[in-house]
Amino acid sequence: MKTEKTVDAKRNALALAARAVEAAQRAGADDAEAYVRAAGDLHIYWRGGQVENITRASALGLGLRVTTGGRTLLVHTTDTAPDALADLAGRAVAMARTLPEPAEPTLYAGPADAAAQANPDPDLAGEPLAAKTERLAAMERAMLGVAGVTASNGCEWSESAGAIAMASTRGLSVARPFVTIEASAQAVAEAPGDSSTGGRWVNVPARRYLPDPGELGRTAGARAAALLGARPVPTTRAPVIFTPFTGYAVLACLTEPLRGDMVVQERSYLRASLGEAIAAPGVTIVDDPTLPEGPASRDFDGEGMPCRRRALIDGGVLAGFLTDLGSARKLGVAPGGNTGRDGYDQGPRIAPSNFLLRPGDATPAEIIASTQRGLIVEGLSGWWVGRSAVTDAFSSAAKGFWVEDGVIVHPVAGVSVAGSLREMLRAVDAVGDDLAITGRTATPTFRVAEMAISGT
Amino acid sequence: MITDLTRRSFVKGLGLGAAALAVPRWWPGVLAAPAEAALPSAGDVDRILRAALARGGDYADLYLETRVATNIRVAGGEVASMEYGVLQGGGVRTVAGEKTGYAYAESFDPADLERVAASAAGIAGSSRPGRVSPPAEVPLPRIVRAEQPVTGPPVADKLAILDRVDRAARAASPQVTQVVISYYDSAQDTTIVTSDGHRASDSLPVIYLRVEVSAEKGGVTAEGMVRVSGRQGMEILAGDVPERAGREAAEQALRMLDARPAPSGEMPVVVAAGGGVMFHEAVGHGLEADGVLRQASVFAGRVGERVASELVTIHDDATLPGKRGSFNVDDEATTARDTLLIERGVLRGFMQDRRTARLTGAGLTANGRRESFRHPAIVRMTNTNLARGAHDPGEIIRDTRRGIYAVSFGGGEVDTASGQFTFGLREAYLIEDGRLTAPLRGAILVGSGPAVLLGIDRVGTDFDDWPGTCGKDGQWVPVTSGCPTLRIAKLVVGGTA
Repeated sequence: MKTEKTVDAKRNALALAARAVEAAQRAGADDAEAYVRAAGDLHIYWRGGQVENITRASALGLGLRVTTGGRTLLVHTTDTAPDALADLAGRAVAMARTLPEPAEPTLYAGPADAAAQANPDPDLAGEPLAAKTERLAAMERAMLGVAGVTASNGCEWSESAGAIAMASTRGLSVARPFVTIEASAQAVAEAPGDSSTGGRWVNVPARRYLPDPGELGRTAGARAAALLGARPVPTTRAPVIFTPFTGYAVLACLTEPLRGDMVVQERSYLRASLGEAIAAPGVTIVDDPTLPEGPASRDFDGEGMPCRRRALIDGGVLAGFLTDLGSARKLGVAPGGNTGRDGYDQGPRIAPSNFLLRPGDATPAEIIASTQRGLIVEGLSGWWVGRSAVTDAFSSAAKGFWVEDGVIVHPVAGVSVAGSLREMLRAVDAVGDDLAITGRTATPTFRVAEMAISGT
Repeated sequence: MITDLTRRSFVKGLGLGAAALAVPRWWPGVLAAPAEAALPSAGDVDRILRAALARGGDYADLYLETRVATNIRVAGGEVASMEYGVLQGGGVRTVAGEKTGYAYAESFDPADLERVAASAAGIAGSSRPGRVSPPAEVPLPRIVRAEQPVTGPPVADKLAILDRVDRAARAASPQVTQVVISYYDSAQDTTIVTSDGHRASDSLPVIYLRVEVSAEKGGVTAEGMVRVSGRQGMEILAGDVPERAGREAAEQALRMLDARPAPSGEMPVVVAAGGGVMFHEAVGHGLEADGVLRQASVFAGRVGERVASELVTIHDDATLPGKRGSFNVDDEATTARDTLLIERGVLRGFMQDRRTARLTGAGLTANGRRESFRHPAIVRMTNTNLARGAHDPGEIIRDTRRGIYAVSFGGGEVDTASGQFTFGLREAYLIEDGRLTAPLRGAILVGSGPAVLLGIDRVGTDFDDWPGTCGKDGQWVPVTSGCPTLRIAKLVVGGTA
């Protein structure tokens, strides 16, 4: 019965997209493409043994791209009644006609129905609220059970489930169900004159990929407690080990320089490096929208193109860029199907799906044991403030553990780590075997042979 | 949960449909104003608020919003994307003690909103309904108003303005290689009704223009960025503002072409006027009462205590006309005001919304804000400014032997529980023997908010502010932050040299 409901949501979304496209054609558009997102959302904030905050909604929105005389724009609305659609389409065409210069239209000429993605968790919305809050309670209990943890900064559950549909005058007619679940726990640990925070966050496409709530809570608590007594280290240059908790940030800094539109605009430091060795041979970075456990899996992208797994950096060699139809044409390559939509109110933008550093052979323990003197980075703060696609700079505040002779000697806080992405990628000298895909951007543990560490 | 995708139309009530299309050439003005008739009646509102408090609770509110927005991106002199649309809906919140229930729908239909209210009401588990007082209209101070509404000019006029920005940036130097311009405007109409007897309807414009320029010389690339934003109409882009924005972004990129890697380690940092984002992050978030209530602030329980150098006075002031963080009433129908947070180094109070004020017995400070009808109001900053001092700005640099001059911040982040913050510097210079010597790239500042407040040893006579967008609990709201030129005696600079 639940499955039927899913099919209905998909079918209804697709029918609405088709109606919007027809309205645009009636209004005189040469071409049109509609994107519909329908979702039921639930967010629970749990703290101190009770629900502190619940937000619920069912949301529906429509984005309509129209082209007339080579001029394109997107209009969006939350009002999907037939007269409202006709009105919106009329405005879109009138407004497009006033645009000063034609831009190249980039509508995908798609197949009638390429979509086959199944709903990863069809019963999610039907699960009683109590089952969800019990998970949060278990997380918090486990977190507070860790020695040194004195308070809960809250445990959160977010779910969004619904359907996405696209239709166009070029034959596109695709729809898929989607589910996204986020769970997190935040702990405060205290000792006389000292306090630290730590957390755990996961994002999965179905409950069956959710780690055990107790384990999530214990990890959050342990991460906070382990940093009690942390202190800065003197300013130095040393190897830096990124764990899965922080490696994702380094990977995220690569998304901009790997974007085809940034390359076309000459704003990527990688723009002239296609086919070159830009990273250590152990570095393979893939965009993989096909993984069942990946929270960002998609069978068609924000332009309606079919998606596939792509290696962007393959054995250290820059193998390709993330592209949409427009940037692929300008770069003279086959389009990668790499666009996402931040919402129905925005057009397609190049964005990775599940973006991963492939695992290597070493265990995290082996990587630490083979480090003579260096920093394990367990937490990064403000990593995004120092990043730049143009200049390849990476710098961030960091906390973690200091390693001497392959052994952790004390926790560290109040330092920063910095380097250039270019040099960091080349200096990756160990990649761990511990890749777990509990977020759309994920890495195993890896080590950069040398970075600048600023402290006292 | 989603079964019926066609919802009842309220378009007719808004006077849209065919009538709107008959408006010559440009219509958004018609669309922007939700006619009084389209809003739920006083009787409907009363029923909705009663539904929200049907299972008990201390407080409920209804928030209705219509927002007409235009979003344009220009890259390489071409329109890369153009988006236009309407966001419309209502949200209902029920507060019971420390608990909040919230629900929303993309509809003004009273029946839809009553269902939403029933969903929000679930947070309170009592059998005795909460009290609903008849609402009285809150008078609007005219702090924010559009002289020239953003919904007035056709999009071609807006594109012409962006073209002037683009040309000015390119004309600055042949070394300019790329200009990317992002433009956003919106006209937002809101109605707020609270169960404790307040009602306000307001219209807020906002314009945001961001210019990013890349320049190249001898294989080295650098970037410059300028933002122009405020709660104003098209008048904010009058005169030569577009040309100046383009030129200034280009000049910043050109200056940074000669940048060398930033040093690392502890040193004095002179923050240029306008670097107030540092205090927004390092101090402001810690002074929001919701964090204080959760004991997740280093400032909890310290009102009346010395928390900063006596050179430091900080206000959060939503009453500054046309600023990006300003409004007439906040998103809980509290009239905008100027709140003194720190006075000559002594903590005077926290920023409050209705929930935290009730829980702590504090007075309202009009800091209850939300991103849209999809979010409940929470405690947020508005325009957060560190006040002018007595030192000559030039002398502050001359008095510094070796340090960093931080001109433009790229962004920041803070952990309010520990006060630890990080900032990226977009434009910075090395100070050697009291003089600015080399521009620096890749610099970040790392420190603790409380330590920075105590370590300020110079505060200048000048002042500037900078528009930004602040994220908290997944909600983004417009803010500004400002300060004079000032010096922090010692801070960790995270560079590579």
